[in-house]
Amino acid sequence: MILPRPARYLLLALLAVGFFVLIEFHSSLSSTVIGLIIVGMLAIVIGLFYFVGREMSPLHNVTAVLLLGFFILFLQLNRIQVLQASEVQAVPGNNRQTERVFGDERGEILSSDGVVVAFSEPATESETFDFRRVYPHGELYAHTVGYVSLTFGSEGIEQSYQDALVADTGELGLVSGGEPTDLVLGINHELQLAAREALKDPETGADRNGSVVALDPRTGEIRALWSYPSFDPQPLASLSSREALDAVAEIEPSTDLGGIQCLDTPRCPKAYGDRQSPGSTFKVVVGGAALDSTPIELDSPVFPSVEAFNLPDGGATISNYNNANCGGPLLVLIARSCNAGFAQIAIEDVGPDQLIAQAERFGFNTKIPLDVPESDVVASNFPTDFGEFRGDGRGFDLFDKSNDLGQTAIGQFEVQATPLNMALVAAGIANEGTIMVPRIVAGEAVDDTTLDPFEPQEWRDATTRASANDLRDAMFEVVRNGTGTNLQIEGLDVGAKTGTADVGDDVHAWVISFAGPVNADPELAVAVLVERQQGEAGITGGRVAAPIARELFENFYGLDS
Amino acid sequence: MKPRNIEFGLLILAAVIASAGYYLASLGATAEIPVDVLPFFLVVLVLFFVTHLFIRFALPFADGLIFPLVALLNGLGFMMISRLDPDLAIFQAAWTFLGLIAFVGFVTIISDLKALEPYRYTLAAVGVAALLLPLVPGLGAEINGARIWVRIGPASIQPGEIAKVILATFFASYLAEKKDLLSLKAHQFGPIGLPAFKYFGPLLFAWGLTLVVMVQQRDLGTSLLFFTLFLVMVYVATGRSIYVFSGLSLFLGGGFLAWLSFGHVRVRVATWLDPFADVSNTGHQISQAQFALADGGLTGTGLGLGTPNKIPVVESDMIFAAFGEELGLLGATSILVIFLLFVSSGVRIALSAGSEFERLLSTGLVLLLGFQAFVIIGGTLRVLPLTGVTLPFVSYGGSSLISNYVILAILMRISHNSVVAAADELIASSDDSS
Repeated sequence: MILPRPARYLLLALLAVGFFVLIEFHSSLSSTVIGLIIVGMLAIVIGLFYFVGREMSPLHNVTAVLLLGFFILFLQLNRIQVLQASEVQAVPGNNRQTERVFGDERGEILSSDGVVVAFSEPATESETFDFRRVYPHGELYAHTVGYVSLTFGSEGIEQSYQDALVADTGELGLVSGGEPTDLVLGINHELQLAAREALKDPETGADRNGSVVALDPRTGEIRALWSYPSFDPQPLASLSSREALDAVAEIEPSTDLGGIQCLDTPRCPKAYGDRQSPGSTFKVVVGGAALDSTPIELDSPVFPSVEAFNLPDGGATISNYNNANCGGPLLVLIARSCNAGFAQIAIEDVGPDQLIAQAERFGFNTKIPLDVPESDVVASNFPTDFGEFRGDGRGFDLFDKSNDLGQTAIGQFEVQATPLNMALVAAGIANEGTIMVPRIVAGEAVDDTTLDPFEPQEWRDATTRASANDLRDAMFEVVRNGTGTNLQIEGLDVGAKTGTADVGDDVHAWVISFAGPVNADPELAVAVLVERQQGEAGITGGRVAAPIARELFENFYGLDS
Repeated sequence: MKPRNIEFGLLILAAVIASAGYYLASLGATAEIPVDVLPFFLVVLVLFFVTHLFIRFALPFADGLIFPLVALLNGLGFMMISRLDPDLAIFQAAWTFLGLIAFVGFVTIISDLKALEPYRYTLAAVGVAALLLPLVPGLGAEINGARIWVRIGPASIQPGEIAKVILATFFASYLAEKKDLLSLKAHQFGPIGLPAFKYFGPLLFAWGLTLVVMVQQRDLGTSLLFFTLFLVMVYVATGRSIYVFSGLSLFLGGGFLAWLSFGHVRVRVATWLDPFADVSNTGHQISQAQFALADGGLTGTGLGLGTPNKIPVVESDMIFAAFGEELGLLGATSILVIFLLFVSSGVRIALSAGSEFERLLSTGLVLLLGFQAFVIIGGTLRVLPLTGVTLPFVSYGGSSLISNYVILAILMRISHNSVVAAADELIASSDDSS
């Protein structure tokens, strides 16, 4: 049998396609599909040899195989150099882009209230580069503005807005381009300073590990983003590699620069690069699921006042804080943060599938599209496997891990959230269920007084509008009569949800909150996490974290007491 | 047109391309080729033309394409090496000189390759001995984890490079004589017929030994090439695809065993599949190559304007990435095309070869170089796991350059002799008919 020439070419093309698919998509294909593709390609090779090869001399066949090999090289060359070039250039650790523009003049970066937080100044004659980058506020903006370093590449918006900040000098650096663009942050310098102060221990003035994130729920613009520990980016931007290396060695005495663990290193932007158990602040997500997808309403049914929730088959129990009796309608469950009631809602009413879906609508299990390098952002985690269906409980579905499901309802087990994500949870509720894409940069400065702002973009619909308004009322109730009374501020409507997450013997103190003028839309959403406070009686999110949020609201509205 | 005039014209073109590249690279903003390298570049160019004159005299009827292609590859390689490391360029000029001396010497001494046939077992022994040389204590040296070097005074050479040529000659002469026996189906297993095993003995022995030696020396690239050379020659000699398939299964099995038993092989495979998982350590070299290629884009950064020196071993194994960065997709594709043209000239020589031995030898050698280019470019582009072999005629390296010029000498000698033989035959047949 003689195979017609077009059929031969088709088979060769199929081989190339198969190879390409394998290289390109091997990570997203199941092993069965990969196996099938490989078997198919082998079949084509054998077929070609059988039907075509025997008509040709062996020398022709071998040359044809080599030719095919070179064709594959050509395809791959196109892929690396053109099709995927920008992705390869964005791989973490690829500092080439930064090195090319290091020492060029970059645009200024200003806070929303006009304070210069990064600028370029001409270097002296004797130095290798034309300009040096200056960060006048040290550690204050390390996790937002970042830095540009010859040795360590660039971070923060210095990296993600590099194209705008650096004047276009043409690919070869031979063309003299226009002026570099100045950027304006959404961050308010005064509020950022207040966040740093507020996170310190109010009694001793000592620094506490944690994060403070404040943003505008209506636009997603970040108003303050501070996490401690932080570091001074200035030495990293040094024109001397030696100084930069020494500075990092001092910041991270024992860490290999290749793979920095986020825990306990100042270079880790904890506010969006580290996740912790959110504790009871997560209950608003469960509340959203209950309101969105079950008949439960804010004021009915009334859940019984109990000390703890017990699984019907005698699995573990989920107790209230201090084993207190707690119950009532959803409004009260949120206000008083009843663990038992939320465990019951999650297990008996919402169920795993709805809860997973709701958590993901609130931004869990996805990297938040903050305008910093994507690799620095860590996704919040909500577990997606609660085991097999095991049978009927008391009129509801029981799963192998229903007990874990109850724990997730109170923000424990494997639920972990970044402070930024929890700020977006509060913001979504404040903004009638819609979470906006969070942005550090508000826009480009046209001249000294004019801002060319970026369009706000919607990111997620976390809940329906009605559910969001219910949750907003419930969070107002938390401040009026619940665990967040520390946030009552004269002249403002404040909503909040506190959280106290157990981590071994310590606790994480959380609060998520929003505030606005009376009877108006909330204008600022805040998440506060104070990490690893000693787990003594009374050390709660309401007592430790809420006052920090309060300081921010007072500063923002000029109500400093 | 006469092949020598074609050769001369193309050689001028090659010289113009390489010189233009050299000039641009020396203008580049970041790369400064010092003025004192220029004489070496000019000497290299002059040497090509002197060799051309020698070919006019010694091999007037040889193929006219292959030498200019080699000169172009060598010239571009020299240009890039000068740009990467001017000190190495001076050595590379010396290696080119020695390579051309080897070419001239080989062509002068060996007027007919068939004269080598009777010494096939001597050649096999010499080839194996050359391969074993680096394992001799006191003589051998380990560089970059591979024990494939022999230190003689200040210079280090890789005897394995020339062993490739010697053993290819042995394979060719053995297969030319035994091809009929090897094609016979002495044993029938269902639809699969196999030849008598005794004819396979010497071949398998030579092949197995070289493989063992090379695994011992941790030179996976060369052993892969050897394996392919062996398979290709057996297949071309016998025309039986069963050898190819059993060889491929052997290779896959062997590869799997190597993956199981050698940590460095597992690391290679892991960095092949995901080079960016450990950018600063195990994946450093291959990641830097990808970064360089991506920076090059369609048209490249321009000669002398990129930063290819960030890639470890860029002057030899990774030189293709340097071309990709500074000349872009267009320049890198040109290198691919030059290699394809080189392979096609070589295959044409093989097709016209006068004897079975010469046909097999030229086939084996030209496909060896073509496949070597594929292996190292494929390694650079992550089509294959990276194995350290040189890009023929382009990479820095004396042993490789010299042995490649010997291969060129063999190819051109075969080409010339086949034309002369065909002409003789034509004259003889016209004499008969008259």
